[in-house]
Amino acid sequence: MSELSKSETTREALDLPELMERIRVRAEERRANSVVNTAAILARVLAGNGAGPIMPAPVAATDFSLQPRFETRDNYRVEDFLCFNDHIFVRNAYRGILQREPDDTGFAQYLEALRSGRLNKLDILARLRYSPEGRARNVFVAGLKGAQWRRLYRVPVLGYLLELSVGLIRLPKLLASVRQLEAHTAAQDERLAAYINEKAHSLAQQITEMAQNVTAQLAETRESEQRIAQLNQQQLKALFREQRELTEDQNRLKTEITHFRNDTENKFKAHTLADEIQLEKHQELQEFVAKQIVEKLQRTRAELVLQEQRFAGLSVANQAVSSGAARDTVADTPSAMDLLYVALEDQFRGTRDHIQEALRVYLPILQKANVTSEILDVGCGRGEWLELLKAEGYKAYGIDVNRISVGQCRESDVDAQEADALAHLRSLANDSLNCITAFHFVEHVSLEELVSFVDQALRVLRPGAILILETPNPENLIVGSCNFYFDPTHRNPLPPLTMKCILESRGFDRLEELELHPMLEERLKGSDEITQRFNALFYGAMDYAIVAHKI
Amino acid sequence: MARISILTPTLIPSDAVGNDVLGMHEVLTRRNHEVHLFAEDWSVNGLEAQHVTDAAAYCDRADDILIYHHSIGWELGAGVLRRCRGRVVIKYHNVTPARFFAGISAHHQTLCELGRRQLSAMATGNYAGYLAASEYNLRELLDAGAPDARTFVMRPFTQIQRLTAVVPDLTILDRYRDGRTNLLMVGSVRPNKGYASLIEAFAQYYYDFNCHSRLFIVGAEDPHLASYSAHLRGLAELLHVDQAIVFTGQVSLDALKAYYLLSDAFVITSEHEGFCVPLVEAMATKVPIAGYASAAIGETVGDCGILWDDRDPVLLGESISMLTQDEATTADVAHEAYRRYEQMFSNAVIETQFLESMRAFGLDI
Repeated sequence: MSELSKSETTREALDLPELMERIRVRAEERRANSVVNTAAILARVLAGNGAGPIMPAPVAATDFSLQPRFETRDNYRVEDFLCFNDHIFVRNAYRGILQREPDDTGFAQYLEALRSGRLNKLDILARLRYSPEGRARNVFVAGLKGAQWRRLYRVPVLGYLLELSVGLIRLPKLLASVRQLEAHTAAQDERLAAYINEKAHSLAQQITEMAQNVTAQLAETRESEQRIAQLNQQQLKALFREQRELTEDQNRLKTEITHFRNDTENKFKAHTLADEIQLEKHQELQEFVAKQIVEKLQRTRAELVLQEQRFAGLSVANQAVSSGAARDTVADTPSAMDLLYVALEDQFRGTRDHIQEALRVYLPILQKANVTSEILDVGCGRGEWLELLKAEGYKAYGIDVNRISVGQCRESDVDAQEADALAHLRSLANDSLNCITAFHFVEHVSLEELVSFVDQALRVLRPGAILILETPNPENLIVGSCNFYFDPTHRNPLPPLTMKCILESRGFDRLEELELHPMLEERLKGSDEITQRFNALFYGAMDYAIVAHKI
Repeated sequence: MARISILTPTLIPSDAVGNDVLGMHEVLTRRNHEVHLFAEDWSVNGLEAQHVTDAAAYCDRADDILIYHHSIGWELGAGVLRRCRGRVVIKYHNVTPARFFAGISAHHQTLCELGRRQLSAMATGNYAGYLAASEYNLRELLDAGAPDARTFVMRPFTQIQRLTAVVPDLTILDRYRDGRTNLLMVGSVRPNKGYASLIEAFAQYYYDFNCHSRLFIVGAEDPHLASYSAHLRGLAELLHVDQAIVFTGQVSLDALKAYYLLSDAFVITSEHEGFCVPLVEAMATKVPIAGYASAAIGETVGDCGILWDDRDPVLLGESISMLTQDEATTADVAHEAYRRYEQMFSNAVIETQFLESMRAFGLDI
């Protein structure tokens, strides 16, 4: 059977030793690495409080017995046994007579016999004393001999009569015994009552003391609890107060921060604005100063040019004085060159209407410069511009060296004179014109003549007057390489930058460039860089004009 | 058919000895024997029991059989044994050493001392046979003088079949199914069960691993041991885990089922057990076991639970943590434990052990 109970199956899935080793290692790691040693804290708490005895030490209580204590001796009186009752009697009988503890069987049998009334105490004492074991022990029990005779009671009829007779004879003694028993019982009861009373008093006293202790402890506990509650309340109040103060502080700080931020922002804005204003003013000032400087420079340049002219005039006068007056002879008939130029102009310059339309671009410039009269058109050609100006209410006149052209002008009823540009300008007084225009003139003269022309123009124009020069634009490659040479009287193509440089260097100011007559219809379509550059180079403005101011 | 009397001081179905008595009664009745139950105090539905003082009349013949369940000192039972003329079998469930009750209950202390003395008398009483509820009990019997040839291990019959079949108490399931980790100990609240160690180990686990946990202490509380119960509650309060510990008192079978279903681990810290039926219940309901290997606990659990020889709360806390967190480990442990229950502790296995033992004692049943 044990084998059966010991049989167990082998397991494969669960490696318990390995699992437990893993747990042990983790526990050791926890013990070594834990910041808070829970086990130690728990142990400390237990040692401090809970590990004491579960119960208070029991109060020593003395056993109370109504039966006297039995002492073993060599000789007894039957009364020594008879004062015991029930199982104690049986046990003491064994101890006294057989000098040993009762065996279970004997004990049970005698106790049962005694309780059932089958045997009385004397019978049991006699049986034990006169048993083989009792005889061997030979303990003397006074008053037991007579008990031997009690065996005769078992004889039928006679035994009964004998027992009855003995009973009658013993009746007075039995009555005395009964009285004695009554007295004994009463005395025992008294003892019992006294014991109970004593214990009751003692217990009552203990309970009273305990109750007093408990009451005192309860009162103390209540007092402590109240104190703790009071402290808690105070702490809570303090906490709440702190919390409130903190909140108020926080709000105050928030407000202060907001104000500070707003102030700072405003100050910053104000500073920035002031800086901007100052910067703007500074820039304006700088521009103003620069303008003043440029203006001064241009004035100086203009003054220089005029001084040069005065000096040149004096030289010519001197030469004339020394070699006799020069004789200007003007032919009455147009030269072959005049005819050629008119033919070229008719071929390449375009129709009168077309030209007038193109020249309308300058009218706003005249308006802007408040120019309405004293306008000189140098190289006026067929007079398209003069005609337009006249039609628009401007007072202007033109000069041209081509007699045929001047004749055409006069036919158109515009004021034109046959004159050399330089000579005519030189004949005019200083600051006498409001505007000089020269369309497609400058490309016909040499550089020296051009410079002289610019210088004379500067002299005769009033301050604030304007000079307008229009010429083919060589930045258009077709114009620069081909169209420019349609007119064989053209001398040098003048790129805009060169033109500006000459004007500026001779004292003109506030130069404006107008890009004119682009070949829009010829342009290639597309927005890529190559197409755009191609269009600019080949089909850009064919002409340009510079508007220059005298300051 | 034999006339068989079974004696036990107390016969109630929630008690391990009571269930063993009922198991024997069921087996013997099924085999058409005349079986009588005797106790001093009993409460069994559907069964008739008689007072022990009547027992002598049922064992006064030489062919009568008396099975005496010994678990505590019992004068009346010993008296019946003395008067019995038939054949006697002693079933020894172990007697708690009296020292556990010192300073707590003189009543229990006296009964346990008497029980130990009676064990010696029984062991040398030359009875027909001796059954021990465990190897641990077997050794005590042999040490007390029982004849080796007539002393066998027969584990107790249990109510586990009913426990697994019963519908759990839904109120309890609803009340405690709240996501907490539940730990369980089942057993009457007595000093030998080591509940103080259990509370200490739980506190260790609670503070170090999982303060979202709860401990169920499922077992009857004895008015004679009120000071012990109070001490345990005081200890729980001292360690500030009283809110996490539930003392259920004695519970019905459906409530017990609910507690097993709710629990993530069975924690045993008992200091003295002769067998410990709740361990088998835990195995059968697949609740993994962790604890200390005192007395017969190691023998009952075998290698199907995590048991430590050292009573070390840190180790136990770590074990509970492992069992409640590592699902694979929990499944392995619970599975092996269930197999152990089926192979060693099911009523069918116990019945075979019982019948074979009785035959070995020369009793024809």
